[in-house]
Amino acid sequence: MSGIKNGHPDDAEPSLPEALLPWYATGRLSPEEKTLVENALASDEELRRRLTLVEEEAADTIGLNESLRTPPAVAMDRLMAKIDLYDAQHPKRAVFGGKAMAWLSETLSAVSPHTLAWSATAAAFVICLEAGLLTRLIAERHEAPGFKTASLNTQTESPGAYALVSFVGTVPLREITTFLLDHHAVLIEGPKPGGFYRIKIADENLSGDALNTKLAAFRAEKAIVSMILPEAPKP
Amino acid sequence: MAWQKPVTGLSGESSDEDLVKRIAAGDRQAMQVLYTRHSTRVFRFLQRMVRSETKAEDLMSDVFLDVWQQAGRFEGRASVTTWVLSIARFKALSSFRQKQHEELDADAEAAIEDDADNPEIILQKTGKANALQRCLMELPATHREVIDLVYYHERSVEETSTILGIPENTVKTRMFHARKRLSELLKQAGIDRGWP
Repeated sequence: MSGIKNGHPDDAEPSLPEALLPWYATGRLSPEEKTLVENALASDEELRRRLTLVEEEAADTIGLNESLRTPPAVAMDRLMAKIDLYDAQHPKRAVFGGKAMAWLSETLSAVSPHTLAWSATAAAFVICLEAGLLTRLIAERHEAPGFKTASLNTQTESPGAYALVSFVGTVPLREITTFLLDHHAVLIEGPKPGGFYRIKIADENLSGDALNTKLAAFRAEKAIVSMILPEAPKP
Repeated sequence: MAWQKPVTGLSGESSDEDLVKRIAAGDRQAMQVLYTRHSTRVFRFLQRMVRSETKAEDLMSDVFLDVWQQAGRFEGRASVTTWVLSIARFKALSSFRQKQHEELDADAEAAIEDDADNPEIILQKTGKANALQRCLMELPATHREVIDLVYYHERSVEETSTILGIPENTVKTRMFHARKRLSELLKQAGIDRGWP
């Protein structure tokens, strides 16, 4: 198309005020750009008419989007299950390192060499003390090996049937999450040596046929589960 | 308007940026608050891109898992909303690639539009009142996303440029052409707006 309509070129690239009309309508212009558009609107009737078209479009776009569904409530549970699984596979999140180093650097640069020397002596003492404490902590942990997830609290572990499962190596996180949700299973702990995860497979203790049926359902998911072993019920 | 205002959570009304800092430190409650605040917009943005609620839900979950994983690297150059929408768009495009579909470029537009009614049928089905909304649905993907980002998600020129990865001047001209295409669809449906 070409030609002139109401004093405006039909198909040319837009003038700057016209190009900015959508952002003028949504209030997302800088003060300078807003003034530019308002000056143009003041002297241009066709531009004012086009602004009403923009406002119509904006209203209908909002109406259309608002008519779309909102996320189902279960979506957040699925997300948190994915996060649990991700954290279980990536237990260390070194998040404080950078900030701590920045703080340390800033603090040390502000003290005198004399103060720094005394501080170093005190720090050496603290390090020795910490080493002793850490040794004790490691020794205690050694008595109860295994990685704890945020959701694990062995002292208040609920009754139910538990199992150790290993997943096929190429299965993406999303499928594992869906698999767990489909089977009403919950990730408890892992990864353990051998790539096993401890999962809760039922809220009640299972044995005999009930346990075998449950395990068979898991084993049937051959594309996801490489091995599943029942855990002996706790007394 | 479209956006949920910040909700009260944690210790009072936290900004998105504060929440992301807490998420970077592994704070799950902050993650839930950020999710509550942004999930609807992300879900709708994805629905408009992939045209499937199920797919949009899967992708949304991936988007927020990325937020959890990448929060420590968020530098605050763009707003959290812009950052999250950028991730959402990337996830949607990646899903197209996984399905060996073409990217949301002009070549893909025709394929995406194939299942759509033509404008005359749109008008017969919906009447004039809803014709504009129906035509908005039939826009090519590249036009749909820029219109949604500007009108519904209320992104500025700069923010839209960041999300789409194109220069700001291109954002302005793309928006102009998207609007023009919308008017043309309406004209085909029998509604002449006198422009273009």
